[in-house]
Amino acid sequence: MSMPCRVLLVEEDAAERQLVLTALGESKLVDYTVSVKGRNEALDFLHARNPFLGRPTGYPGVIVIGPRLAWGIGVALLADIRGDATLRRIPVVIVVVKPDAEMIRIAYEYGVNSLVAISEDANGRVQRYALLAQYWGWSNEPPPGCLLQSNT
Amino acid sequence: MNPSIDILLVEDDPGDVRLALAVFERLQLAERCVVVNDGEEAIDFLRSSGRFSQRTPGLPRLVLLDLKMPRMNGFDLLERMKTDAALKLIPVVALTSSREERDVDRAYDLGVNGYVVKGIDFKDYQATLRALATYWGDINERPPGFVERRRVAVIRSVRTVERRAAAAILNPWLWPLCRC
Repeated sequence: MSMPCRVLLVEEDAAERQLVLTALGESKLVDYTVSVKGRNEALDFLHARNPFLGRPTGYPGVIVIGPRLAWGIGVALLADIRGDATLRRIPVVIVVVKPDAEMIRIAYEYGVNSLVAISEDANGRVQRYALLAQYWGWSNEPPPGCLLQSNT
Repeated sequence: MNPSIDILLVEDDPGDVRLALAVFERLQLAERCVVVNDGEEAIDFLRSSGRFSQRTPGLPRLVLLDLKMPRMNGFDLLERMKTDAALKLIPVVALTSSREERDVDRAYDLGVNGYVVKGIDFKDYQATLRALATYWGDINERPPGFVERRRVAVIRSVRTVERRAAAAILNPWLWPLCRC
């Protein structure tokens, strides 16, 4: 069993961020989560610069791109991550509401690790976020260099 | 649980295969799991070639991949899949006993979708496989362009029912069992 690794949540909408944090709290991951509002802030965190200058070294075990971040910005962030030799191994999960086949294809073509579709229903979303957190926080082994490594 | 999940388990250790199938049996997934023993067999399955040339068409929803195998190992298979336009979008999760940094690093470098370390006992292993099956079968959105195997499975089961019904009609010993 792995220790939970830090989750970087990229979500523009404050209410949605709160919903995700509620679900992460159920999975006991909320203390290991950093949330940012957009692409630039996410890149600042990943490169430990600007407001994140001096943060503990290392990378998140998973980056979750939230459903209220504009689709194009989320994909651009994914492309930034995959195009950067130091970041490209970090698992990226994109969460979307009602994705069409083209969106799913694009996400996988750009190298998303997983794409999760959610409904508009808040309870359903919390459940999905909790399962997402459970898998990526507890079951999946993150790449070397993440902030918290497994405990065995 | 999404009934359309299809798993290709690439594993050479008979004990681990038995354990995985026992867990999938409990999760009612065993019938939708295909086991191959090394990377070459996996390529044959994915390309419907060799002994799989007559198999039902379609790609698995998830490939569960052991890394240390004879002939073509997990890393070589992963590399082949992620550089093949027809196969590169299939989610691949390494299911291995290795937590060695170089193995984890190499797997992510080659484009693995997830990396899960096998539990040390049956209870752990069961929990691990349950989490894997739930996430990749029910939560993850599968890439487009895959044949929906659920329809094939339904058609197959209808044919099985028809065959059984026909056999029952042809066999007088089974007439008392026919309720139609």
